Amino acid sequence: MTRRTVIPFGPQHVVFPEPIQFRLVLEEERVVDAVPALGYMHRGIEQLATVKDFTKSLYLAERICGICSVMHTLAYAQAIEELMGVEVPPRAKYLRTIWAELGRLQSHLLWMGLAVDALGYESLFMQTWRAREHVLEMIEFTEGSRIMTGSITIGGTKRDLHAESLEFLLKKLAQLEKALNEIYPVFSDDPLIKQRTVGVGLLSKAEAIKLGAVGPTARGSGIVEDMRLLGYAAYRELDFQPVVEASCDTYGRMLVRVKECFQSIELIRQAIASLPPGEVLVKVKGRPEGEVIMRIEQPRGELLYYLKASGGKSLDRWRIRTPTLSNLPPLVHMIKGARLADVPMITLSIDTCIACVER
Amino acid sequence: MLTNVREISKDDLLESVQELARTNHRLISITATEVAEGFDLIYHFAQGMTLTNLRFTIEYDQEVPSITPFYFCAFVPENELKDFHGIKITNLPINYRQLFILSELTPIKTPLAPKVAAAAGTEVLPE
Repeated sequence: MTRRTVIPFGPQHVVFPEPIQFRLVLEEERVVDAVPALGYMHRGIEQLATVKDFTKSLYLAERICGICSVMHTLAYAQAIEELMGVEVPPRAKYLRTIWAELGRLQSHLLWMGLAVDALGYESLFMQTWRAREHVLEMIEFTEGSRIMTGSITIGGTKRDLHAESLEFLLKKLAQLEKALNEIYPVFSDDPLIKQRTVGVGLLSKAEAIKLGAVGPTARGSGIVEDMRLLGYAAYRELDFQPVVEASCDTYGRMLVRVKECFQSIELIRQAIASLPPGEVLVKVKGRPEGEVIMRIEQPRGELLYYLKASGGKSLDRWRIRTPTLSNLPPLVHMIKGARLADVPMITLSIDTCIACVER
Repeated sequence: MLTNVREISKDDLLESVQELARTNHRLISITATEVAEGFDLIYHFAQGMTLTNLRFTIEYDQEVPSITPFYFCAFVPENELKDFHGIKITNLPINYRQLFILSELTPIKTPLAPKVAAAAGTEVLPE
């Protein structure tokens, strides 16, 4: 009879930027079961929103996660605006779209660097993060800081983009595209990267639906689903199709993210080209009342907010369901049957964000 | 505003979920909100981009059947319901016993259901 061993994978591990643990049950080198263990960074944000002023909860939303901060403020602002019947100026919708795509770019490039670093590609890691630096410079130049920017607010945006900013963005986008064109063939064709990712961490299309996969994890399994198709912000006016790969493995999920970087560049260019003139903020008076569900596409997939308010200063309920939480059951499925040496790369392939999960 | 909501009874939950599973709906999550005499529960599903919500209310002492026979991934939101609201789920295959996201050291039990916490004699966050 094969001897079973249980080993803790995490919470501190070289591939985890944030703490999560998987208790791996092994038979020799093969994983036969995996149990996720959370609870290392819960902050009680949903509860705090029930006592804080709803306008201050915008800042709570931004602090759910540093990497997805712009997405959380966008979702929260849109949800409150829908509750209060606020119509955001068209220019603000375009600015929100530009900043959301810059957020997606920096998140995907962060992941791409971490992924190849886990495979031992130090030079590619540095090249990827050098490309990411272009994105952070664009964010800093147009929003004032690099991570917690506070640019999106209820009723529109706090900042506007002037001709000089738009020129800077276009110049930097060209530099970023050049850098991405240089590193793309390594991600797509390098034999060692393919050896470690092709056929590894399989998740079929049917399993992805059944297990609730979202974002690049679902699109890497051939599912054409992207919340931007709902048309929030300015996405309704922009021309794009979701990036989908049908290989259902770690390689497919990686390619989705790499190709989405090019897509984000194209979306920002489209938004700049059709940026309407006018105001960027409308004054919002009153207090929210009613219920709303808001879904947007974070870098890691679908983010769902449910907000309930009854005209008081704070919300009655703010339910936050982040994409990584949905991708945990698919991840457990992918790990089962994998070799122990492949677990780090498979785990990375869903782009875990634990700050978002535990909120 | 909230759209695509189907009001059901607790007894119809498994049958309704089975039908959604049969028609390839994806489970997004489950939301619980403490109301006057219990909890308002919303089960969120999607098919493509279309959202479907099943909604019903339960009283404090009522148990909810697990939907893991149809959606195994439901063990995640169902353990959240136990953690944050103290809702009892029957036939839950992976039961973290209210230690999924909260821990033994968490001073506040059932933080999103203050009435449950007060009834259990545990610490309650100030209003």
